[in-house]
Amino acid sequence: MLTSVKQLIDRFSSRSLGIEITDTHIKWLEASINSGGIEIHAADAEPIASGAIAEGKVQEVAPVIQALQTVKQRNAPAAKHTNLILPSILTMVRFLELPDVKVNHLRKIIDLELQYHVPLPFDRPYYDFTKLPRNDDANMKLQTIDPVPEAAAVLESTDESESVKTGKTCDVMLVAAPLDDIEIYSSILTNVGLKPSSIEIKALSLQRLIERTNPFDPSSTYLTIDITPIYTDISMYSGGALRITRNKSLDFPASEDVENDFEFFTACQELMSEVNRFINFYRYTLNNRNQEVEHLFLSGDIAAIASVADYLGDRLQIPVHRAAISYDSPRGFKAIPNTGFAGALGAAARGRFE
Amino acid sequence: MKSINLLPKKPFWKRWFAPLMILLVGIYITVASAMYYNLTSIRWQQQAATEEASRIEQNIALLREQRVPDPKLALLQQFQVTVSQLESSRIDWLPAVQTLTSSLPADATLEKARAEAGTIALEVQFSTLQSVVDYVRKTRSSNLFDDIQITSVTALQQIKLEQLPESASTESAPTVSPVVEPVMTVNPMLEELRQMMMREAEGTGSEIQVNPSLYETFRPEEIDAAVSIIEQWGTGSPQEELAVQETPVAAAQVEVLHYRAVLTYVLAQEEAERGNAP
Repeated sequence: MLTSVKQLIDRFSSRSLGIEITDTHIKWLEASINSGGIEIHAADAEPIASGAIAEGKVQEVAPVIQALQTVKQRNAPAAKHTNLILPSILTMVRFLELPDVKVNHLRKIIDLELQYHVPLPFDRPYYDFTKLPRNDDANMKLQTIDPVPEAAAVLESTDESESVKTGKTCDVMLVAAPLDDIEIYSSILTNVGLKPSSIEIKALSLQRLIERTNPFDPSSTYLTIDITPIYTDISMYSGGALRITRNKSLDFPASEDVENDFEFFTACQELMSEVNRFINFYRYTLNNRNQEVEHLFLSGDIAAIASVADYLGDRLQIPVHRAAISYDSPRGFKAIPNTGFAGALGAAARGRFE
Repeated sequence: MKSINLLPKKPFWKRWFAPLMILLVGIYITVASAMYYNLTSIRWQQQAATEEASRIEQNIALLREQRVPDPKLALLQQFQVTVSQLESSRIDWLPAVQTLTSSLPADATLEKARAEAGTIALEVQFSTLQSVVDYVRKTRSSNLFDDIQITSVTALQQIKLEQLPESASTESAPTVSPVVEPVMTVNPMLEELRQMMMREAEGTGSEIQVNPSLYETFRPEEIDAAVSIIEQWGTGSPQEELAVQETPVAAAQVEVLHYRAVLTYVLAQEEAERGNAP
């Protein structure tokens, strides 16, 4: 009896829904976090009508809502809150070094920075930020921006002006996206009866998945590559924080048999070149020479994800870990490979209160 | 490290406006309901109190209309008044009669007694005048009487006649005349009474002296009345009516058989009031 009650409480309290909407599919994953790790309760995917979403932007809302409604009806979620992954192509990630002040004051400084120094290429940008832990070993120096006089004036009246005078700084990760697109995606969820609790980027969802599943040391320097048929996300993590991320348009073939596929190898070569440039940029341009990339986490919803993993593992000489989603969904895993749910699983792992 | 969330945060008022409004409306409805209930309850109570007051007033008016003096009550009140009057006018005669009769000397005879309006009039035969005085004194000491008046004292005499010898030849025994009363003036008796009283008041120096014990039992006015009577008796002209038979007698001897005194006793007021007590 008590076990049943506990299960009932767990069913309705700790479950959360992770949804990733790409140009081609809606990925649906319901999971709960418990002491034993992440438990997947449902994983499914529904294709979106071609042209409804182009490069992350919703062109037609109705097909997207219909696809989401379909997958919802098919899975009947028990989760009351939903975490959505926004397409990476819509987002922009900036790393700033700012005075180490309180969050409220930091927000004012960032507002001034965006107004005068780092303008975002959106008409109505919306952003969120977080302080990153210092990477002492690497003595990492991100893009350094002097605080504008207005920001200094804001801080003069506070006790934290001492931080500015002494030059004590903190690393800040800024994630921004067009508010119009955010509202569209939020309204899509609302229209089907889902209550969005958070909207984030895939790089952070993958980081959370790695932290929860521990395929390797999450505090090490590692690389994540998420491949979709249209574009690929490459992100670098070090010291338990996202350090740099990039989105690259690569055309991987849809077929699984790529043994003699020239298009596949061309895409792999382009990916390999991009990864090398990315690593070099991180190590030498961003002055992280001492940081060796120790692991590569590969995910994506292309059929030949295993071949990509083999290709990268052979050439980069670093362990390649493919996302392991151990859930036998009769429908979702037919539509896309299990590694394609890595982002949705990481979003679902966010839970309700994070 | 804080997680990134690009979901726009709703302003505080936009986020809490609806719940706050619902809460405020709920509180308003609750308070209004409570106030309405209290107001209605007070109105009900007021209406009930008004109705009760009007009903009581109607009852009072009805009772006032019905408040007619009961004939039985009038009779009872009249009876009570009569009883009170009777009680106030009641005189307990028994102690006085008891005193007056028990104080009579052994040789005295109560011939007549009449009581009316707090006064007892006695007509008593005494053997001597001293018995009269003793009786008065004795009854006076009972404190049952406010006033004692010796209205009259009459001596009852008997005249003994001795017939002539011729008649004695035939009948040697003296002839005794019938008793005539009153047959003799009271002067000798009054004089005797005066002397008795003078003897009792001897040595006092006053014109009319009375015995201190007598003085204690008689009030001054009573003494004055008695003295006036005595003086009247002493100065009055004697009225002698001697009934002499036509039969010649050799000698006549007057013998006092007894004295008839008429005494008037006025009951004491305290005694009369005490007699009114139930």
